[in-house]
Amino acid sequence: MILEEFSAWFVWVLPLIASLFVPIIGKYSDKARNYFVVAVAAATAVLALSLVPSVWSGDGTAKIFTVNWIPQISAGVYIDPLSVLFTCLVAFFALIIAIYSIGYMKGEDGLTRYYYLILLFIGSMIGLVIADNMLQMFIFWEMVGLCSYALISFWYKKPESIKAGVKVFIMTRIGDIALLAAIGILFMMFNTFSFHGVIGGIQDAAKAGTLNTALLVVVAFLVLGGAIAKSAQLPLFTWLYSAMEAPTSVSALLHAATMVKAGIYLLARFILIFAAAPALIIALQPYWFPTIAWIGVLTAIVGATLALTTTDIKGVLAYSTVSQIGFMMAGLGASATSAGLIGDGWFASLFHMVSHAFFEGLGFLIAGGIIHAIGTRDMRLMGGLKKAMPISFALMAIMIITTSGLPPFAAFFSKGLIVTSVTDAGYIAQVIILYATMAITFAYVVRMFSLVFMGKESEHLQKQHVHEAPKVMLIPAAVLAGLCIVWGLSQPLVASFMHVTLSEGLLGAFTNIEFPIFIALLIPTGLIAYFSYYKGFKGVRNFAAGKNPITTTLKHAYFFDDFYGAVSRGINNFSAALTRFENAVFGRYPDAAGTAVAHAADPEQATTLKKGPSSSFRNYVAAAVLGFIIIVVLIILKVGIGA
Amino acid sequence: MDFVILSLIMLSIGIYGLLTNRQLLKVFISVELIATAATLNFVMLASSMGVGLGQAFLILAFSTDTAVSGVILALLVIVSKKYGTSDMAKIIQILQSKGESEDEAQ
Repeated sequence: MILEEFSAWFVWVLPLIASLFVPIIGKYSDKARNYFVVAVAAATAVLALSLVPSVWSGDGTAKIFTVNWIPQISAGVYIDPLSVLFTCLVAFFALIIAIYSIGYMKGEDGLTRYYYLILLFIGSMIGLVIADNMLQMFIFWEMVGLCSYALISFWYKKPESIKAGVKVFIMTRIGDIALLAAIGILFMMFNTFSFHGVIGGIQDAAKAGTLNTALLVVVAFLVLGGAIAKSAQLPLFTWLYSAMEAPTSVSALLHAATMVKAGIYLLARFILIFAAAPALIIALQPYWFPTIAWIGVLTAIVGATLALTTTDIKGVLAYSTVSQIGFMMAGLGASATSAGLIGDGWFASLFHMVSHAFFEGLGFLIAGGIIHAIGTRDMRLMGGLKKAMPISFALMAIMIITTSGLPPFAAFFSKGLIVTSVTDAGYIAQVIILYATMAITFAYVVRMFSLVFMGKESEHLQKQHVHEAPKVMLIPAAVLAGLCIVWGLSQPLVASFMHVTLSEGLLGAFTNIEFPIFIALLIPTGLIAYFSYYKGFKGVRNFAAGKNPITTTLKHAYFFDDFYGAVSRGINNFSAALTRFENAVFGRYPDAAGTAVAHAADPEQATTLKKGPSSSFRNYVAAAVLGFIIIVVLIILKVGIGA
Repeated sequence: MDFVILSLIMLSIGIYGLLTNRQLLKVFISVELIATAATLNFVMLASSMGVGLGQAFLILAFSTDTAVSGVILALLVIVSKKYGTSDMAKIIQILQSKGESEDEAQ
């Protein structure tokens, strides 16, 4: 018990404190700094793992350890299967990336800053998922956003990185406002920030019959807004593609495995909280859950179609992430049962969250190796890498099989479970879109694979000697590839860890109706993609290269960025118009007023001032006098009213 | 209620300043106005509800704000020394022309 409490605190405090030592150690030795970061990440991973046994053997309810923070608000850690699942994933992935960075970031400038931010991110991300109260969670929520911004703009001399960082920061802030509003409303209702306090409050109110479900539905929608921005869902998904300006190791850690999943964590956590009262889940069923499911499936298909068209290898992975998180959202949207309890969809979504972290992280690590070797992200300049990078080729093959959801790898079980639960929830239109997305998913991974590894070497590659990625980069990738293979099969174990009883076992994935539909869809799309991008069948390529409404829409990423651009241009124009208005109206007026006031105050000084170099000085004097007069008038008015 | 109106006015002035000014120092003053408006709103609502916590947060907010101001002012000094102006539009122009000349060099 004591060990558990110790681990629960130190698993996030340790990286936060250690991050402060990175600059000090970095001053003396680069090597020591790199190993220090790996050691801290390893210690964090051990601490995270040490939380598993007691949660597994427990009864699934949360354990809470708190200390006094601010009077009336206690900081604490909240240990339940959900938070421990996320903690372990983050800590494990942090270790993988810390090792990978040694190879990938070798010889870069500013590595001390990089490692400092990585450790700060690890601490904040674990702090976010393990926090007991919403205020604490919100602080860490902002901190991961800050780390994301700083790491995306890591190469601060490149204008694109700076722009991308700022864009990401602003777009995710939109969701933060919604989340803050939700937290505020919850505090108003229950007078507490802590999760267990809110759960208790909901239970008590439900028992007394005073539960304000209408207001809680509003809270639920605000929380959804926060999750949408952070997890790159429609309509705020475009930031994830821009975030690809970051170093690839950062993309793998933040923008594939952990930070973008914060939204999924948030929704999963709040579904647990709302489930404290079945009546509340039933109240959320008509609008909230279907909205999540719709956002999820639409994002899934939008992301998949965009992944099909982009020529940037990291862009494919970014849009793939958007699309896969759409699947998770669909799972969460299908997680309510008619009895007001949590169904399979909730678990399916979290299960897919982890398998996605493995295969997308693997994709990023290999893409990083390729970018490292040939110095470009453009897939049109790649091709025929099979010979030069055989190990990467084999690992990428595992990655595309997993991503497309073929059995028996991880995503087959997790995606299958999501589709089954969405079907069970009765979302027919959504299921059809999910099937279409799965077919497109297969097409885009085959396309990426063909463009990068198959075919002839491009001219760009013939000019340089391409080498396989170093071992320090391949081993972390190989570990993830191994997990891709075994994770799906561990589904019963994970379900018992999460204390969830699933309606069907592992074999159910093969016997139910979804499996044949899925395979029937994959064969034609796979063949089309294979012949178009590998065998030189021109039809699809010509269509994609041509100019027609579909390619234009895809090239503009469904015009979302154009819309945001128009909004910000509108604000700019408004600001320019306001400036012109100000100059026209107030530009001359204060001069005259200033002279007048100055004259009234002291004619002699005013003449001297007039000769002085700065005529605007008079304006300031005038403004100060004016302000003073206004204050005096206000005081007189107030006293007058008071009397 | 008066203080809500006062902080609303401060917020509006701050936003107006952000929209119309391109001088970094004036932008900074506008941001500070907005921050102060938020803090004022917060502490007054807390005290009207009889919660002492608001005042504790006020101290926290002000001390953080001061530290942040120090950093921002230092940055402003560096920027205006480096580019010889504190006009955002001009700095962006300088940066862009620099980027173009680098492109030409390559």
